[in-house]
Formats: sequence, structure tokens, C-alpha cells
Amino acid sequence: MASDTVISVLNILSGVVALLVSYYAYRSNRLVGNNLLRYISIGFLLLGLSLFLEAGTENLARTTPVNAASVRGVELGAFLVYTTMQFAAYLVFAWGYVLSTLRRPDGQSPAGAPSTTPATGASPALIGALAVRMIAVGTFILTIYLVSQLAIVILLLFIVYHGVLVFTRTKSNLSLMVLFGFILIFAAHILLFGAGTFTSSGLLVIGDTIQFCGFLALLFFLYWSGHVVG
Amino acid sequence: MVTLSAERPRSSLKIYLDILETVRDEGNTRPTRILYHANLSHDRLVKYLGELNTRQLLEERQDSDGKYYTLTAKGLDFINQVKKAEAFVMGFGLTI
Repeated sequence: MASDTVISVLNILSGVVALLVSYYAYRSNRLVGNNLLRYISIGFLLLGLSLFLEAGTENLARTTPVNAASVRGVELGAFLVYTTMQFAAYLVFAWGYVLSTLRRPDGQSPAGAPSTTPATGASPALIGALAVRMIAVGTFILTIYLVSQLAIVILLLFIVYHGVLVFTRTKSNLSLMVLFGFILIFAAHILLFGAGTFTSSGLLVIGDTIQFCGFLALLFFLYWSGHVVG
Repeated sequence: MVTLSAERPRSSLKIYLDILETVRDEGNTRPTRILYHANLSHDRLVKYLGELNTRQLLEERQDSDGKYYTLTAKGLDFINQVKKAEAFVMGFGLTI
């Protein structure tokens, strides 16, 4: 349970940094007017909101009884939404980088929560049916989780590759900080994929911690670029 | 085969910044001094100085020797904002 609290706190802090990066990308875009900045702003906005939703869902899961079926339905809906948002965020980054590479000169909605029935006062047959259904829902969540994490890892591989190209071209400390941040987030999602495959809560905590370190690197980047006053 | 130049032409924003930084560093600055430091033709200098004056980022004044320009508080704030944006976009491999 303590690890759930740690994960929630790390996700909230990571979400705050993601929203800060989104805001400064938006402001910079107003001055510079570059499409990549627009994609970075939208991507980090989606990422920040999804991390808040993920932290909120984890809190809900921790504070409600296991048989509260209506709450589990809300959790499933939230899980689908934030997983899709995270995937969309990295897709937006990758798409922005592709467009910026092609145009160098200038620069699904999730399925709704299934209907659920309260488990109170249920007969043994109903409890059995509910248990089977919860196992089916659990398998579905795990499958969605693994597919989305794998897709995110592939997108992040592309983003990191582009970051390496940017750093080798510019040799600037600022691009190195952004690259370092994305490498850590990439490593975190490999661990989160492993956590889903081996259903390991330890890997989940390590993955979320490394992801937070990635966002910390992005916070240092904001500090060094003069946006966040220390 | 298409060959792309490594150097992009300066954007209007970069030219604004070069002019404003020149005036900030030099104080009361004559147009010829700005022309030399910002590396602009006379026609483009007149155009950009007019725009900066209209936006109240520079103030045009006159003495017995002719026109000179001073940086306004709004101009100084603009320089700071553009410098921050320049540092931010550099992190993603972009330039202003």
C-alpha cells in the first residue's frame, strides 16, 4: 500500500512538470511560431493530464473495497482513458518530430466503462459470475496495458533517436537535458512493460521512479533555459 | 538532387532581437550603429526600426546630430522573453 502512495505522488509530480513544459512550449510557440512546439505543447498537456488521472485512479483503487463493482467500473474507464492519452501524447511528439524533419525550413476515444452491478446482497451464483467477470476484466486490462506500453516504448525509441540526432547536431547542454529526460522516460516504460508482463509491483515502483527522474531532468531543462526561477 | 543550405536566413524575430540587443548594449544608438551591428541593408533597417517603434519596443528621439533610438521597458521585457524562448526551443533542436 505504501508503494501505491509513492507511485501516486511520483505521478502527480511528473504531471506537474509535464504541464509546466506544455505551458512554456505554448508560450515559446506564440513568439517563435513553430509547429514542433505546438505538438510538444499538446503532447505534454496530454501526458500531464494522464498522469494526474493515473494518480487519481490509483488513489481510488487504494481507498475503496475490492468488491465495490461500480468503483471498479470507473477505474476501468479511467485506465482506458489515461492509457490512451499517454499513447496519444507520445504519438503527437513523434509526429511533431517527423513533420519537423520533413519540413526543416520552418520550422480513440476509449470505450466507456462497462455497466456494473452492486455486489451487495448477492447470491453465491452471482458472486461466482462476478468473480469470473472480474478475472476477464483483469485480463483485458493487462492486455491493453501491455499493448499500450509496447507501443509507447516503440514511439519513445523514435523520440530518443531524434533527440540523439538533435544533440549531435547542436551539441548544446539544453538538448542534452531534453535527451536525458526522454531516455529516462524510455527506460521507465521498458520497466513498466516488464512490470505488466511479470505482474511485478516492484518493477512498477522502479519504473515510475525512473519516469519521475526523467521529468526531473526536464524540470532542470526548464530551470537552465530560464523559465523556472530557483 | 536538392542541396539544402546549412544556414537558414535570419527570421524577423531574430532580426528584432539583434536590433534590440544592439540598442540595449549601446544605450542611445544612431541608426548607422544599428545597421552595422545588426548587419542589415538600409531599407530593411528602416522597415524594422519602424515596426519596433510602432510596437513601442524602441523609442525614436531626435537631437542636433539626428535621430537616435533608446530601448523601452517593454523592449527590455521582450528581449528577456525571446532569450528564454530561444533557450527553450534549443532543447528541441530548433532556433528562433
